[in-house]
Amino acid sequence: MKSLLSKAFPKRWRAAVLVLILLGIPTTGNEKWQNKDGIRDRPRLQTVKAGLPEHRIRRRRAAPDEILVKFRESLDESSARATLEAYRVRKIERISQLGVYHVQIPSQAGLEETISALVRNPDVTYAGKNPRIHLTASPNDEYFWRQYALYNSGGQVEVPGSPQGKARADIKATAAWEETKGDGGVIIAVLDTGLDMDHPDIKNKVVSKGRDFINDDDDAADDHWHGTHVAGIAAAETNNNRGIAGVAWNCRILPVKIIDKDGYGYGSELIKGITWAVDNKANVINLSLGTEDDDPTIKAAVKYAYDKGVVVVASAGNDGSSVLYPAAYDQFCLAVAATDYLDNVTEWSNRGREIDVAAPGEMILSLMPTWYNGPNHPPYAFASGTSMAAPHVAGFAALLKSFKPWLSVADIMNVIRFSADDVNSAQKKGRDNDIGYGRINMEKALVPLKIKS
Amino acid sequence: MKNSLAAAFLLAVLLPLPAFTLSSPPGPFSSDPPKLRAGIGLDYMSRAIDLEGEAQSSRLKSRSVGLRFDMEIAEGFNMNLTAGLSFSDCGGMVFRKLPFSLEYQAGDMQGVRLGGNLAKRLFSSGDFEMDVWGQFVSSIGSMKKWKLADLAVEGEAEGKLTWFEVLAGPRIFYRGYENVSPYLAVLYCPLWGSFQMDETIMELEGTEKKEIRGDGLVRVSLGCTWDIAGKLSLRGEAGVIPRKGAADLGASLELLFAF
Repeated sequence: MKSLLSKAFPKRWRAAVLVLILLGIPTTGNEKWQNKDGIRDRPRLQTVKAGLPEHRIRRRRAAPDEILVKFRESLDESSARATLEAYRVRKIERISQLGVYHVQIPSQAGLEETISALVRNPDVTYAGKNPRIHLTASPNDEYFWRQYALYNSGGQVEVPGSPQGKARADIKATAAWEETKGDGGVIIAVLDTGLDMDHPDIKNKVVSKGRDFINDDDDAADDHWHGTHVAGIAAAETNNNRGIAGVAWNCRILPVKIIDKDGYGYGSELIKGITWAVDNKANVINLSLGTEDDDPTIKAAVKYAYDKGVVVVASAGNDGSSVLYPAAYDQFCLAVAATDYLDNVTEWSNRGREIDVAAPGEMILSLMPTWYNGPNHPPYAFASGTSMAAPHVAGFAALLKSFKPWLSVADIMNVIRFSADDVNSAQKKGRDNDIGYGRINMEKALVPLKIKS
Repeated sequence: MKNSLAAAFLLAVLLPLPAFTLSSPPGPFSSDPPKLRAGIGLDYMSRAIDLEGEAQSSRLKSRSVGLRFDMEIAEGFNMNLTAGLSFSDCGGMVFRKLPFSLEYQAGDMQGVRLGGNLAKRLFSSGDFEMDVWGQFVSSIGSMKKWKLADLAVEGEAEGKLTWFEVLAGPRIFYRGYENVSPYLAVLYCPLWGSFQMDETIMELEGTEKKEIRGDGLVRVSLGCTWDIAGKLSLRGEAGVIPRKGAADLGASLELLFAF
């Protein structure tokens, strides 16, 4: 294969694209997040197994001391109240239209025990917990509350002792999902290390096994971890009671493996991957990778996608230097910088006039291949990098493409740019080289803007 | 289609009237009618509107003020012309086909109200008199620009609202009082028009035009004409437009001076 490459591509070019780098690297979970030494070279990741005890990661599903009770219809209200008072309840409220009683039990009484006792009463036709209700656009995914990038409550970002986020320093995903959750016909091609297609939090969102340009077959399985993590950010299965939520709630993933198990690839694979994805009906392409060298053939591939109506999103790079290619092909590609849980640009995010927008890229929770963490740990991990920022934008582009399929690629790119929040306006007002137009704001782009006099 | 039906209905009602009414005895109201009257009128309308091809609905509220000219062009056949200003509000209308969706909450858009009506007496019986009345109203030239706030770059939206309404049908007057004549009217009341929104944000441009249709086609009105003193007369009318599960409103007030 390498000999073929040497014939097909000039030596200098090969050398340049050989350094296609993956922009986030996992750690084992033993490192403390506070240790920022070397973060410019090795973006941090902390695995879920290190910091998410089971009792912390489950969201409350019901009121802790309230139950709902219904009696047989022939029982009058005074008898029903007398029955409930026998359980020393603190408060009884009758919903007369339905004959349902909303009951608050003493804090020392067990919820399950009280329900069990009531169920055994022959006058009771139903007794159960008072379920917690949430907005439909807030997904029920188990770790959603740890995804500060989608909804930042201002709580702790990761594990106990980790930093506090800034409330609403996020991409406003929940508000945007009220408007659209995307279309299953819109496809995000993730050109990366592949995808763990057995991962329970994404297996139902995969279009096909994709294409593996490293091993030259039709199974883009992930033998690294990066591609699975990136794909999960963009479009993990959402509202499925497990794991995380993906930005593009209903859109699907087309995995394309162009990076090997060590995290490197060639420009030839990148070019082939882009053209293959375009020809296989991708609507959005995510490239969480890059090279320092400008190359006309890579540029031609990105332009090919642009001309065919495919939005290309690429990460800017993680070494604090200039924007990598293909992100730097400004006309045809959205270059994405990384912000953190406080809406600050990260120190390691690359800078340059080619930066279009920023998205959260520090400590982003997403999928890990099921084989990666071992059998006793959930297959999720935190990772940092512009690699993690880019798929937020790719998911955003997929939602836009779903919601407004008549928009051109240029229009979608501009909507993403112009809807961004200028979160560093205090230091650099307007478009700047750090975060471009700003941190993306999906609500502003998808929810109608109010015209007021 | 609805527009042409409405126009055809109006013509069908009004054109044969002179011939038909020749056999009708003149009513007390028109025994010595003023030849020319002028004055001012106020109109109010609040109507639910359907948007063609969309599930959402909205509401058009309009207030207008204008000059009125009323003349008798034949025995028992009156024509009234109106010209003035209209203030129309399609609050809550959402334009989702633009690159950035927009929701209109900017209140009234000022435009020009032009219209006219024809009234022809049909017959009278005892204290009752029946005429047929048809009115065409247009609100045109409503245009306004707004800055789009909160975007990373400067942007602008421009709205253009135009609407038309026809009211046509019989009115039954009670002429038993000396100076006051209450009446009941049942009117066919189609409304149609369009609201176009243009959006320009740097090189990002979009246009969305919504065709609007009034929900409900029949208005039931109660009105009254009052000969206040000498040459001064007042007419007031309020009506409801029943539709599924609700009703819309329309009202007008007209003060005329006879020459």
